[in-house]
Amino acid sequence: MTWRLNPSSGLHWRCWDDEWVVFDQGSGQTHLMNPVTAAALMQFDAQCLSFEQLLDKVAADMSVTSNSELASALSLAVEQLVGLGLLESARG
Amino acid sequence: MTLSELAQAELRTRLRGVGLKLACGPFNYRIRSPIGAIADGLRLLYADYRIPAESEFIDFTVNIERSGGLRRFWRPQVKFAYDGTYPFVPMQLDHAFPLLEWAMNWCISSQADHFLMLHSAVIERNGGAVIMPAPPGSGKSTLCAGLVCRGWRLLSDELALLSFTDGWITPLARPISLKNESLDVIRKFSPDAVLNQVTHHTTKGSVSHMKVPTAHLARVAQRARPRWVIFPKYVPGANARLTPRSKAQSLLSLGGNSFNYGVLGLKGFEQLSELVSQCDCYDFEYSQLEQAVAVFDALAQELVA
Repeated sequence: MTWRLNPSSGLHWRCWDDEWVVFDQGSGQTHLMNPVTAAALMQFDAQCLSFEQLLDKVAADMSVTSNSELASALSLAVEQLVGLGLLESARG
Repeated sequence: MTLSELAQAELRTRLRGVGLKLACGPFNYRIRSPIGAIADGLRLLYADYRIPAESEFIDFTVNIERSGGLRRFWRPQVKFAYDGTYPFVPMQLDHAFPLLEWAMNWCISSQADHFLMLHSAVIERNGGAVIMPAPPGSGKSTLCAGLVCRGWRLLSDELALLSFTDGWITPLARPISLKNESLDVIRKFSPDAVLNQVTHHTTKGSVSHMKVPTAHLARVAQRARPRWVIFPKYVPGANARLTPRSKAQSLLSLGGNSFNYGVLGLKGFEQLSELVSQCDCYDFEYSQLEQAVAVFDALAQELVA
Protein backbone atom coordinates (compact mmCIF):
# COMPACT_ATOMS: atom_id res chain seq x y z
CA MET A 1 0.00 0.00 0.00
CA THR A 2 1.22 3.49 -0.77
CA TRP A 3 0.18 6.89 0.52
CA ARG A 4 0.35 10.38 -0.82
CA LEU A 5 -0.22 13.88 0.46
CA ASN A 6 -3.84 15.01 0.18
CA PRO A 7 -3.67 17.09 -3.03
CA SER A 8 -5.88 19.80 -1.53
CA SER A 9 -3.53 20.39 1.38
CA GLY A 10 -1.06 23.24 1.63
CA LEU A 11 1.32 22.83 4.53
CA HIS A 12 3.10 25.61 6.43
CA TRP A 13 5.51 24.59 9.16
CA ARG A 14 6.86 26.12 12.35
CA CYS A 15 9.19 24.47 14.85
CA TRP A 16 10.09 25.42 18.41
CA ASP A 17 12.48 23.11 20.28
CA ASP A 18 11.35 19.59 19.35
CA GLU A 19 7.72 20.45 18.71
CA TRP A 20 6.33 21.02 15.25
CA VAL A 21 3.18 22.88 14.29
CA VAL A 22 1.74 22.60 10.81
CA PHE A 23 -1.01 24.73 9.34
CA ASP A 24 -2.94 23.09 6.49
CA GLN A 25 -4.20 25.81 4.18
CA GLY A 26 -6.54 23.32 2.52
CA SER A 27 -8.55 22.58 5.65
CA GLY A 28 -7.68 25.61 7.78
CA GLN A 29 -6.64 23.22 10.57
CA THR A 30 -3.57 23.61 12.76
CA HIS A 31 -1.86 20.50 14.11
CA LEU A 32 0.78 19.90 16.77
CA MET A 33 3.21 17.12 15.87
CA ASN A 34 6.06 15.24 17.46
CA PRO A 35 9.33 14.95 15.48
CA VAL A 36 8.56 11.49 14.03
CA THR A 37 5.12 12.45 12.75
CA ALA A 38 6.47 15.72 11.34
CA ALA A 39 9.36 13.92 9.64
CA ALA A 40 6.96 11.37 8.15
CA LEU A 41 4.63 13.98 6.72
CA MET A 42 7.51 15.96 5.23
CA GLN A 43 8.66 12.92 3.21
CA PHE A 44 5.45 12.94 1.18
CA ASP A 45 6.07 16.24 -0.49
CA ALA A 46 5.42 15.55 -4.22
CA GLN A 47 5.76 11.78 -4.04
CA CYS A 48 3.90 8.61 -3.16
CA LEU A 49 5.58 6.26 -0.68
CA SER A 50 5.10 2.73 0.58
CA PHE A 51 5.60 2.11 4.29
CA GLU A 52 9.03 0.58 3.66
CA GLN A 53 10.13 3.56 1.59
CA LEU A 54 8.84 5.93 4.27
CA LEU A 55 10.69 4.01 7.00
CA ASP A 56 13.98 4.26 5.11
CA LYS A 57 13.56 7.94 4.35
CA VAL A 58 12.62 8.91 7.90
CA ALA A 59 15.49 6.86 9.36
CA ALA A 60 17.93 8.61 7.02
CA ASP A 61 16.40 12.01 7.68
CA MET A 62 16.58 11.60 11.46
CA SER A 63 19.97 9.80 11.32
CA VAL A 64 18.67 6.80 13.27
CA THR A 65 18.63 3.07 12.65
CA SER A 66 15.61 1.68 10.87
CA ASN A 67 14.32 -0.69 13.56
CA SER A 68 11.05 -2.05 14.90
CA GLU A 69 10.68 0.80 17.39
CA LEU A 70 10.81 3.40 14.63
CA ALA A 71 8.52 1.27 12.46
CA SER A 72 5.97 1.14 15.27
CA ALA A 73 6.12 4.91 15.80
CA LEU A 74 5.80 5.52 12.06
CA SER A 75 2.87 3.18 11.75
CA LEU A 76 1.05 5.17 14.41
CA ALA A 77 2.07 8.45 12.73
CA VAL A 78 0.70 7.36 9.35
CA GLU A 79 -2.55 6.28 10.98
CA GLN A 80 -2.85 9.71 12.63
CA LEU A 81 -2.02 11.59 9.41
CA VAL A 82 -4.63 9.62 7.46
CA GLY A 83 -7.13 10.38 10.23
CA LEU A 84 -6.36 14.08 9.98
CA GLY A 85 -6.94 14.00 6.25
CA LEU A 86 -3.36 14.98 5.45
CA LEU A 87 -2.45 11.64 3.82
CA GLU A 88 -4.56 9.41 1.62
CA SER A 89 -4.19 6.12 -0.16
CA ALA A 90 -2.41 6.54 -3.50
CA ARG A 91 -4.48 3.78 -5.15
CA GLY A 92 -7.58 5.93 -5.49
CA MET B 1 -15.16 66.45 24.98
CA THR B 2 -15.72 63.62 27.46
CA LEU B 3 -18.92 62.06 28.68
CA SER B 4 -18.49 63.67 32.11
CA GLU B 5 -18.93 67.07 30.45
CA LEU B 6 -22.46 66.16 29.36
CA ALA B 7 -25.26 67.17 31.71
CA GLN B 8 -27.31 64.25 33.02
CA ALA B 9 -30.39 65.45 31.12
CA GLU B 10 -28.43 65.78 27.86
CA LEU B 11 -26.98 62.29 28.30
CA ARG B 12 -30.47 60.81 28.67
CA THR B 13 -31.80 62.86 25.76
CA ARG B 14 -29.08 61.56 23.46
CA LEU B 15 -29.55 57.97 24.60
CA ARG B 16 -33.31 58.19 23.95
CA GLY B 17 -32.88 60.04 20.66
CA VAL B 18 -30.02 60.34 18.19
CA GLY B 19 -27.75 58.16 20.29
CA LEU B 20 -24.74 58.77 22.51
CA LYS B 21 -21.47 58.61 20.61
CA LEU B 22 -18.62 57.10 22.56
CA ALA B 23 -14.99 56.39 21.61
CA CYS B 24 -13.49 53.17 23.00
CA GLY B 25 -9.96 52.63 21.78
CA PRO B 26 -9.97 52.38 17.97
CA PHE B 27 -13.77 52.09 17.73
CA ASN B 28 -16.60 54.59 17.88
CA TYR B 29 -19.98 53.45 19.19
CA ARG B 30 -23.43 55.00 18.97
CA ILE B 31 -25.51 53.81 21.91
CA ARG B 32 -29.28 54.16 22.08
CA SER B 33 -31.39 53.17 25.05
CA PRO B 34 -34.33 54.53 27.05
CA ILE B 35 -33.31 52.54 30.12
CA GLY B 36 -32.15 54.49 33.16
CA ALA B 37 -29.62 51.89 34.31
CA ILE B 38 -27.78 52.33 31.01
CA ALA B 39 -27.43 56.06 31.53
CA ASP B 40 -26.35 55.57 35.16
CA GLY B 41 -23.78 52.92 34.29
CA LEU B 42 -22.33 54.96 31.45
CA ARG B 43 -22.07 58.06 33.63
CA LEU B 44 -20.21 56.13 36.32
CA LEU B 45 -17.90 53.93 34.23
CA TYR B 46 -17.41 55.91 31.02
CA ALA B 47 -17.14 59.45 32.44
CA ASP B 48 -13.61 59.94 31.04
CA TYR B 49 -14.24 58.50 27.58
CA ARG B 50 -14.15 60.80 24.59
CA ILE B 51 -17.27 61.74 22.69
CA PRO B 52 -16.40 61.63 18.97
CA ALA B 53 -16.97 64.69 16.81
CA GLU B 54 -20.02 64.85 14.57
CA SER B 55 -17.92 64.14 11.47
CA GLU B 56 -16.28 60.98 12.84
CA PHE B 57 -17.25 57.55 11.50
CA ILE B 58 -19.35 55.37 13.78
CA ASP B 59 -18.28 51.73 13.74
CA PHE B 60 -21.14 50.19 15.70
CA THR B 61 -24.65 51.28 16.65
CA VAL B 62 -25.90 49.46 19.74
CA ASN B 63 -29.58 49.60 20.67
CA ILE B 64 -30.60 48.32 24.09
CA GLU B 65 -34.40 48.24 24.00
CA ARG B 66 -37.27 47.15 26.17
CA SER B 67 -39.14 44.17 24.76
CA GLY B 68 -42.61 45.04 23.51
CA GLY B 69 -46.02 43.42 23.86
CA LEU B 70 -47.07 41.85 27.14
CA ARG B 71 -43.44 41.87 28.24
CA ARG B 72 -43.83 45.58 28.96
CA PHE B 73 -46.02 44.63 31.94
CA TRP B 74 -45.15 41.07 32.96
CA ARG B 75 -41.51 40.34 33.82
CA PRO B 76 -40.21 43.11 31.55
CA GLN B 77 -37.26 42.23 29.37
CA VAL B 78 -34.46 44.01 27.54
CA LYS B 79 -32.93 43.09 24.21
CA PHE B 80 -29.93 44.06 22.11
CA ALA B 81 -30.78 45.17 18.57
CA TYR B 82 -28.08 45.51 15.93
CA ASP B 83 -28.68 46.37 12.31
CA GLY B 84 -32.22 45.00 12.43
CA THR B 85 -31.18 41.75 14.11
CA TYR B 86 -31.26 40.49 17.72
CA PRO B 87 -27.97 38.66 18.28
CA PHE B 88 -28.75 37.64 21.90
CA VAL B 89 -31.82 36.22 23.58
CA PRO B 90 -33.78 38.83 25.61
CA MET B 91 -32.83 39.22 29.27
CA GLN B 92 -34.67 40.50 32.28
CA LEU B 93 -34.80 44.29 32.43
CA ASP B 94 -32.37 44.73 35.32
CA HIS B 95 -29.66 43.01 33.24
CA ALA B 96 -29.58 45.98 30.88
CA PHE B 97 -26.12 47.31 31.73
CA PRO B 98 -24.26 43.97 31.57
CA LEU B 99 -26.12 43.36 28.31
CA LEU B 100 -24.74 46.64 26.94
CA GLU B 101 -21.19 45.59 27.86
CA TRP B 102 -21.62 42.16 26.27
CA ALA B 103 -23.16 43.74 23.19
CA MET B 104 -20.23 46.15 22.84
CA ASN B 105 -17.84 43.20 23.05
CA TRP B 106 -19.87 41.26 20.49
CA CYS B 107 -19.71 44.12 17.98
CA ILE B 108 -15.93 43.95 17.99
CA SER B 109 -15.42 40.20 18.27
CA SER B 110 -17.82 39.44 15.43
CA GLN B 111 -16.58 42.05 12.98
CA ALA B 112 -13.13 43.51 13.60
CA ASP B 113 -11.25 41.06 11.38
CA HIS B 114 -8.63 43.66 10.51
CA PHE B 115 -7.10 42.55 13.85
CA LEU B 116 -6.16 39.08 15.04
CA MET B 117 -8.51 38.92 18.04
CA LEU B 118 -7.71 36.77 21.06
CA HIS B 119 -10.13 36.19 23.93
CA SER B 120 -7.68 37.48 26.46
CA ALA B 121 -6.86 40.13 29.00
CA VAL B 122 -3.92 42.40 28.14
CA ILE B 123 -1.94 44.58 30.53
CA GLU B 124 1.31 46.47 30.12
CA ARG B 125 4.17 47.76 32.24
CA ASN B 126 7.56 49.19 31.30
CA GLY B 127 6.71 48.83 27.63
CA GLY B 128 6.01 45.09 27.70
CA ALA B 129 2.49 43.69 27.33
CA VAL B 130 1.24 40.49 28.94
CA ILE B 131 -1.40 38.54 27.04
CA MET B 132 -3.52 36.44 29.42
CA PRO B 133 -5.83 34.04 27.58
CA ALA B 134 -7.96 31.78 29.69
CA PRO B 135 -11.38 30.16 29.78
CA PRO B 136 -14.13 31.50 32.07
CA GLY B 137 -13.55 30.64 35.72
CA SER B 138 -9.77 30.72 35.49
CA GLY B 139 -9.46 33.95 37.45
CA LYS B 140 -8.28 35.95 34.43
CA SER B 141 -10.36 39.07 35.02
CA THR B 142 -9.74 39.04 38.78
CA LEU B 143 -6.00 38.86 38.17
CA CYS B 144 -6.25 41.54 35.50
CA ALA B 145 -8.21 43.85 37.85
CA GLY B 146 -5.75 43.24 40.68
CA LEU B 147 -2.76 44.08 38.49
CA VAL B 148 -4.48 47.20 37.14
CA CYS B 149 -5.14 48.32 40.73
CA ARG B 150 -1.38 47.97 41.36
CA GLY B 151 -0.21 50.05 38.42
CA TRP B 152 -0.26 47.79 35.37
CA ARG B 153 -1.86 49.61 32.45
CA LEU B 154 -5.08 48.07 31.16
CA LEU B 155 -5.33 47.45 27.45
CA SER B 156 -8.30 45.09 27.70
CA ASP B 157 -9.78 42.52 30.06
CA GLU B 158 -11.47 40.64 27.22
CA LEU B 159 -10.02 41.24 23.75
CA ALA B 160 -6.41 41.34 22.59
CA LEU B 161 -6.33 43.22 19.27
CA LEU B 162 -3.14 42.32 17.38
CA SER B 163 -1.99 44.28 14.36
CA PHE B 164 -1.20 42.34 11.18
CA THR B 165 1.41 44.95 10.33
CA ASP B 166 3.71 44.81 13.34
CA GLY B 167 2.07 42.51 15.93
CA TRP B 168 1.57 45.33 18.46
CA ILE B 169 -1.60 45.46 20.55
CA THR B 170 -4.18 48.24 20.32
CA PRO B 171 -5.80 49.16 23.66
CA LEU B 172 -9.55 49.14 24.20
CA ALA B 173 -9.44 50.11 27.89
CA ARG B 174 -13.07 49.25 28.62
CA PRO B 175 -14.37 48.48 32.12
CA ILE B 176 -13.26 45.16 33.64
CA SER B 177 -15.97 42.55 34.03
CA LEU B 178 -16.03 40.94 37.48
CA LYS B 179 -18.35 38.31 38.83
CA ASN B 180 -19.36 36.41 41.94
CA GLU B 181 -16.53 35.95 44.48
CA SER B 182 -14.24 38.24 42.47
CA LEU B 183 -16.32 41.26 43.45
CA ASP B 184 -15.46 40.99 47.14
CA VAL B 185 -11.88 39.98 46.36
CA ILE B 186 -11.30 43.20 44.42
CA ARG B 187 -13.21 45.37 46.91
CA LYS B 188 -10.91 44.11 49.69
CA PHE B 189 -7.77 44.20 47.55
CA SER B 190 -8.36 47.75 46.37
CA PRO B 191 -11.03 49.65 48.34
CA ASP B 192 -10.62 52.64 45.97
CA ALA B 193 -11.72 50.62 42.94
CA VAL B 194 -14.95 51.98 41.42
CA LEU B 195 -17.50 49.28 40.64
CA ASN B 196 -20.92 49.65 39.07
CA GLN B 197 -23.95 48.31 40.94
CA VAL B 198 -24.04 44.51 41.01
CA THR B 199 -26.50 42.72 38.71
CA HIS B 200 -27.62 39.39 40.13
CA HIS B 201 -28.90 36.18 38.51
CA THR B 202 -27.34 36.74 35.09
CA THR B 203 -26.13 33.79 33.02
CA LYS B 204 -22.71 34.46 34.56
CA GLY B 205 -24.02 34.89 38.10
CA SER B 206 -23.66 38.22 39.94
CA VAL B 207 -21.72 40.64 37.75
CA SER B 208 -20.37 44.17 37.89
CA HIS B 209 -17.79 46.22 36.02
CA MET B 210 -14.75 48.06 37.36
CA LYS B 211 -13.97 51.55 36.12
CA VAL B 212 -10.72 52.02 34.19
CA PRO B 213 -8.33 54.44 35.92
CA THR B 214 -8.34 57.85 34.22
CA ALA B 215 -4.57 57.75 33.69
CA HIS B 216 -4.96 54.58 31.61
CA LEU B 217 -7.54 56.22 29.37
CA ALA B 218 -5.17 59.11 28.79
CA ARG B 219 -2.80 56.57 27.17
CA VAL B 220 -5.45 54.71 25.18
CA ALA B 221 -3.80 55.65 21.89
CA GLN B 222 -0.47 54.10 22.95
CA ARG B 223 -0.17 50.59 21.57
CA ALA B 224 2.03 48.02 23.31
CA ARG B 225 4.45 45.35 22.18
CA PRO B 226 3.59 41.82 23.38
CA ARG B 227 6.35 40.42 25.57
CA TRP B 228 4.72 37.55 27.50
CA VAL B 229 1.87 35.08 26.97
CA ILE B 230 0.69 33.84 30.37
CA PHE B 231 -2.14 31.35 30.91
CA PRO B 232 -3.49 32.10 34.41
CA LYS B 233 -5.35 29.67 36.62
CA TYR B 234 -6.78 30.33 40.05
CA VAL B 235 -5.96 27.32 42.25
CA PRO B 236 -7.19 27.55 45.87
CA GLY B 237 -4.26 27.53 48.28
CA ALA B 238 -1.59 27.58 45.56
CA ASN B 239 1.51 29.72 45.80
CA ALA B 240 1.95 32.06 42.84
CA ARG B 241 4.13 30.21 40.34
CA LEU B 242 5.14 30.64 36.72
CA THR B 243 5.92 27.49 34.74
CA PRO B 244 7.39 27.68 31.23
CA ARG B 245 4.97 26.51 28.56
CA SER B 246 5.95 25.29 25.10
CA LYS B 247 5.48 27.75 22.27
CA ALA B 248 3.82 25.14 20.09
CA GLN B 249 1.23 24.32 22.77
CA SER B 250 0.76 28.04 23.38
CA LEU B 251 0.07 28.66 19.70
CA LEU B 252 -2.63 26.00 19.64
CA SER B 253 -4.23 27.28 22.84
CA LEU B 254 -4.19 30.87 21.56
CA GLY B 255 -5.77 29.75 18.29
CA GLY B 256 -8.49 28.00 20.28
CA ASN B 257 -9.04 31.19 22.29
CA SER B 258 -9.21 33.43 19.24
CA PHE B 259 -12.41 34.93 17.92
CA ASN B 260 -11.26 34.92 14.30
CA TYR B 261 -8.21 32.65 13.90
CA GLY B 262 -10.44 30.13 12.12
CA VAL B 263 -11.52 32.60 9.45
CA LEU B 264 -8.16 34.28 8.87
CA GLY B 265 -6.43 31.23 7.39
CA LEU B 266 -2.68 31.45 6.74
CA LYS B 267 -2.62 35.12 7.75
CA GLY B 268 -3.78 34.21 11.26
CA PHE B 269 -1.30 31.32 11.55
CA GLU B 270 1.61 33.52 10.54
CA GLN B 271 0.60 36.26 12.99
CA LEU B 272 0.14 33.83 15.85
CA SER B 273 3.47 32.14 15.06
CA GLU B 274 5.17 35.52 15.16
CA LEU B 275 3.52 36.29 18.50
CA VAL B 276 4.67 33.12 20.28
CA SER B 277 8.13 33.41 18.73
CA GLN B 278 8.67 36.85 20.24
CA CYS B 279 7.04 36.13 23.63
CA ASP B 280 8.02 34.08 26.66
CA CYS B 281 5.13 31.70 27.35
CA TYR B 282 4.08 30.50 30.80
CA ASP B 283 1.37 28.79 32.80
CA PHE B 284 0.59 30.68 36.00
CA GLU B 285 -1.07 29.35 39.14
CA TYR B 286 -2.12 31.65 41.94
CA SER B 287 -4.50 32.02 44.85
CA GLN B 288 -3.40 35.32 46.44
CA LEU B 289 -3.43 38.53 44.43
CA GLU B 290 -0.57 40.13 46.39
CA GLN B 291 1.69 37.18 45.51
CA ALA B 292 0.56 37.32 41.90
CA VAL B 293 1.36 41.02 41.65
CA ALA B 294 4.86 40.40 43.03
CA VAL B 295 5.52 37.75 40.36
CA PHE B 296 4.28 39.99 37.55
CA ASP B 297 6.20 42.99 38.87
CA ALA B 298 9.38 40.92 38.83
CA LEU B 299 8.75 40.12 35.16
CA ALA B 300 8.26 43.79 34.32
CA GLN B 301 11.43 44.63 36.21
CA GLU B 302 13.40 42.49 33.74
CA LEU B 303 12.62 45.07 31.08
CA VAL B 304 14.06 47.87 33.18
CA ALA B 305 17.19 45.88 33.99
